Amino acid sequence: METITFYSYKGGTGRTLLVAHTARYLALSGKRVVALDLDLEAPGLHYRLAPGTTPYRGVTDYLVDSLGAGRAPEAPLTDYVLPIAVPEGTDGRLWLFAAGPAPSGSYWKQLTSLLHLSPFLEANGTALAAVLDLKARIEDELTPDYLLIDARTGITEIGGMATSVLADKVVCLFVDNRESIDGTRAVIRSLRKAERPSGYPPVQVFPVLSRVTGDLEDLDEAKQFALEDLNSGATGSEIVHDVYPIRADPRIDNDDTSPASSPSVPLKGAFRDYRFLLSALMPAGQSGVSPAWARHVAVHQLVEWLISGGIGDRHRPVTPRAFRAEQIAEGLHIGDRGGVRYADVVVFASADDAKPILVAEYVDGDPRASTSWEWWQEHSEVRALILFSLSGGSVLDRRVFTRERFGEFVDRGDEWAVRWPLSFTLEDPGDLSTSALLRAVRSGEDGFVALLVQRWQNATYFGIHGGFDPDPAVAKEIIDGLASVRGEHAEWAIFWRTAPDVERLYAGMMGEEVMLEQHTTEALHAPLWWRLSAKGKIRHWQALSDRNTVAGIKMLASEIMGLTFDQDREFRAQAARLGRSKRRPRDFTTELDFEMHDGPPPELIRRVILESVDVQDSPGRPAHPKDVSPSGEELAQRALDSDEILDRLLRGPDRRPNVVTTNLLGGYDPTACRVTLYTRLVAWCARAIDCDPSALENVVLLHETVHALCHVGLDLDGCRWDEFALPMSTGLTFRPSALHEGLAQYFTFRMLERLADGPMMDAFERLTSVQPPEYEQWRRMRAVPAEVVRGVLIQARAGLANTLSALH
Amino acid sequence: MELDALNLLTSEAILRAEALTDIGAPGAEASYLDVSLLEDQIAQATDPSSTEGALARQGAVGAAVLAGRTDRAEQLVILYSAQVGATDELRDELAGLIIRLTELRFQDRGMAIARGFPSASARYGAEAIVRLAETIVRQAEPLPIG
Repeated sequence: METITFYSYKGGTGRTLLVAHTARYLALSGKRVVALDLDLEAPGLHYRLAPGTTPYRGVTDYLVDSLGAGRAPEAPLTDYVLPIAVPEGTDGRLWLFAAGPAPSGSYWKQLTSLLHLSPFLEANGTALAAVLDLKARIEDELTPDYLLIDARTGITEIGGMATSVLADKVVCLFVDNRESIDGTRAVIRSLRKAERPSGYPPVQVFPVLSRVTGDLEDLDEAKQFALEDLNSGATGSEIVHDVYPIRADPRIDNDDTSPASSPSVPLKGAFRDYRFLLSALMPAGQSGVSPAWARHVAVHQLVEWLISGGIGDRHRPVTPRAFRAEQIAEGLHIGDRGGVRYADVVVFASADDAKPILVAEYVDGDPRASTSWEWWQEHSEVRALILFSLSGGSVLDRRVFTRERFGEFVDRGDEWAVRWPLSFTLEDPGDLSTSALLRAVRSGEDGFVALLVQRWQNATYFGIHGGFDPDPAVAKEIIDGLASVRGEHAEWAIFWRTAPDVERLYAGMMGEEVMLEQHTTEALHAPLWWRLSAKGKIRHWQALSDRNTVAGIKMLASEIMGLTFDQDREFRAQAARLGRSKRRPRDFTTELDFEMHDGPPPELIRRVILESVDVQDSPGRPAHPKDVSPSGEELAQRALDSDEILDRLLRGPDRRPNVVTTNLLGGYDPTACRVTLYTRLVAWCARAIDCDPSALENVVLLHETVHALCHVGLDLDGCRWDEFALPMSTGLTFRPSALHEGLAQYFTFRMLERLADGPMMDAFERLTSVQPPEYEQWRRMRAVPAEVVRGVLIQARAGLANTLSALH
Repeated sequence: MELDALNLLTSEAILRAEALTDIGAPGAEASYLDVSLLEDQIAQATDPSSTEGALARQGAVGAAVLAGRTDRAEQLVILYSAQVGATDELRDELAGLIIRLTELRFQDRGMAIARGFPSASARYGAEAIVRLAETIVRQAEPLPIG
């Protein structure tokens, strides 16, 4: 048995990780290995070798039993160790001798007992004998080829035992800073002259410079500097002849040309550095890339890939978040239907949920020829399986299977989407079809929105550098699917992901990316802005200071009405007055505002008053509605709470609804430039005409926004005609403006045609059928070219004569 | 402190240390350090040429050895040997005491280690473990930094 102690003067060197790597690799190589955690004050090896498992007993318990009785415990060591799974067919064995059930109160109590029982530095030799006896028993009872010890940092009695007494070899990890190097230098020199058990040669020391950043050249340079530092003032046997650098990130390897998104190349980055170190530590039979090493590295490449971040940047992640390291375990036996099988990688539902959802098994040869999946299908409930191997000794070859709960596996080829936890919210984690993703988003799983947007872009955009094949059917499926999403979070995600990224635009994004942003804004965000729920869009509008949702308004103004809408107008006017305009237009105001109102609208108040006037035909009746408006508002408020009263007020003698849009379902206040949606009246109306209430809200909001743009929109030459504001209804004899409503209905209809939204068009048609003649003109005008009506609008705004007749 | 009181305390300390040793208590060795300190107090109050003084000096050195503090025992021998009135016979006796008691202690401790930790004893030698432990303690650290 060879004993290798891993020591670091300071923490944060990756020591425990290196112990775990070495232990697993040796076990995969067919060696019998015991990994002993002597970092008693801060044990952690069980997190690496047996994640999710709390050891029942450990070395602290063993030593308390030994020192308390003055003799070694009679119980076999198997009572204290935890066997770690190794693949079937290998001769290797791996046992974890954990510190104990840490972290827990019982563990700390046991540790305190140990420290009180006996100082390790005691001349009677009991503590030393207990520790040496443990080592001897490990050798006798477990017969390992290697005992790997994770030692405590700093200078401690137990750390000294682990390095100078127990070890044959000491791997001494340090990082590139002054205190780490000075401490390591002192420890290495001490180890060279440390007292050893009789007949045992001096400890061999392997200095390891860890967490090196950069590529191979940086590695050599760091190694030379570290050697110079460690040999400062050294003479004779104090001289260190070699240092083993290990890079910080297993994926870093600048001399490799493989794409970063592909798990490939077994000997790269930190793994190559590990390999050099292990070759030096265990020179016999370790030359070349052994199958065990390939498997070990392949497993870690897979794990790294499973936990690596999604595609995109921090502003715009394109793919969902990957798994967290805490969810993943290496090397476990899995199975729950009459058998267990070794899984190289296991992914759990969450860090707190021990239910495995994905397993990966390394197979010899071509994964496509393997039938291992049959076992997993039969004996486990995992929903995804990856069979992987090394193809050509360098690239990970894989075959992915997924299934619905209690279903059979479907071969997904080399699809890697299963690395997203979000995928497991789908019925089948491998089914990333557009319809499946849309179903998930509609059920509230907004994490797939970015993926759908990317898919829509691929189906619609052909930039200057080429693109994917246009697919109008997919594009329509996505936009219709997204438009039908309801729910605060999901709608917010759609608005956010499709709107232009102002930060990126200001950061100087160039060329094709800008074009793609613009394309997405105009062709996806703008129509979706109108089709998603009124509540969602108003909340989004009110929440964002940079108003990047204005594209929907601009679409209506320019594409449909032939106007422009300039939300920066006020800001620029102010800046011009200040004589400078260098300030970034961040907190500018828009000229439009939207609100949802659940109180009574003016038209309802008017009808309430009219009804009361008719009923209360008394000498004291008011001459003007303003005189009774307070009580009228109260009555209207009461009417809102009673469908019976609303029916009386809003239905004609034939019981058919008799509603107007403006001032009853919605409204536009030209003094505040505010569009209002009267939600309770819209809800009543939707019930009355039997249409989708959300669609009706959108139709009303659209209609009122046309009124707003007629007012605040600019002609193409920049002229604005404030006097064309929608008349307010304050009189008892109010009639809708045929001109205003005719234009509003026409442009609403044109916009609905453009949006091609079935429920909205249906709501519009049904609503119009129960409205006064002013609202029905669009039916006669639908064949009139939009350009003609735009001309009428321009004339009307300019106050030219005969516009109404022109409209007719 | 009066010599009689010191003698009384020393007797009690010896009885205590022997009893702890008999039952294999973890603190047995440390209790001999108390004996050594008390015997040294008596030694300072007595003439080295007197029988009582010679016995006290032998007791202080011997108890230090049994406490596993050979370093202290050696310092005491140097000190007592240089005292005025120290006879050659006392000097020889003290020097021999360290060797004899150290061997005895190693044997005793070795036997206890061999009984309690047979695997380690078979692999490394029970007495060798005690000697290594003492060496490490003498160096004050398992890692002899500095």
